Amino acid sequence: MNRSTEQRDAEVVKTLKILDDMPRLEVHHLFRAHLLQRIDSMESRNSFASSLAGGFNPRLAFFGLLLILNIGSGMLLFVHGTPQSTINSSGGLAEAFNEDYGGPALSYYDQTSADRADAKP
Amino acid sequence: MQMNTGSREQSRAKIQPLEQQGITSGERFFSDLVAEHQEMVVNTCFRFVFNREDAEDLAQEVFVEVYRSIDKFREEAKLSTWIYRIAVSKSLDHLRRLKRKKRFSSLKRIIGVDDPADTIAAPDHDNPADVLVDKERVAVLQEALDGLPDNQKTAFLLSKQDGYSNQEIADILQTTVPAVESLIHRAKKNLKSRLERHYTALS
Repeated sequence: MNRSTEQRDAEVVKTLKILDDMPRLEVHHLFRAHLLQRIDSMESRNSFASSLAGGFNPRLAFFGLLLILNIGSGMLLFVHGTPQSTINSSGGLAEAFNEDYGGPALSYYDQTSADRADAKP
Repeated sequence: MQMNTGSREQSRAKIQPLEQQGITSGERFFSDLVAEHQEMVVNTCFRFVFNREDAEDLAQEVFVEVYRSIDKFREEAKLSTWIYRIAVSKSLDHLRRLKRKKRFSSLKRIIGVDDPADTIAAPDHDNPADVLVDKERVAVLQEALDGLPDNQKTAFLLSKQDGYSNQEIADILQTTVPAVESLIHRAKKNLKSRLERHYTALS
């Protein structure tokens, strides 16, 4: 066995010895307190979540849904109602124009005078 | 500490034999359980991770898991064996995560993105692994251990820790005593040849 092999084997032995020499740890004095605190907070989170789930009322949820639907449909009507009112107002404008220009003062043809002419022998 | 009613009842059903010995509540039982096994759990994790902080964090996770799933514990195994099995699997998971992180950080180094967390050295004080001969040797050993299959690594590391008989290791690994002996033998051989290769390459 040459020198380098001996050296290598010595290194291997020293490295493996680390495991034998590993000290035994003493647990931190607050270890248990931290653990119990952690579990406590975990439990309170869980109980909050379960109370949320436990407090679920289907009747209330149904009314909530109805309310949302109601508000939603109202909003839909409002949104669609706005252009309609424009159309309505433009319709009213057109009618007003018809009345203005279709009035007897501005008509080219007066129906009553024509009737009178027809009646003459 | 408060246990919710459902889990308390389930836990109580499992610990009924212990209650006959005078333990009256789930909380008290759990607190006693931690007190009894914390040292063994922390030291088991420490064998795997070589770092006090990580070992204590892992031990906390182990007991949280114990608390959560005490109702799944089957009395065909000893309670201590079940707890140490959780400790081993948590430690192995931690090592796998570290391996993945190492691979990812070396990839980042290749593409030129450095993670500042990689360059921050772990605090030296209060870490018994650092009291050992030298950090480099520990790193070499850790790398050699990383190369072993999980069952060999587990059998070998547990055999090095006081308090584990081959029978107990066999129970943790859910195998037989001769199988454990064989795993330890193969682990030693494997580890030795890995270290020899490492030191040969160095020289």
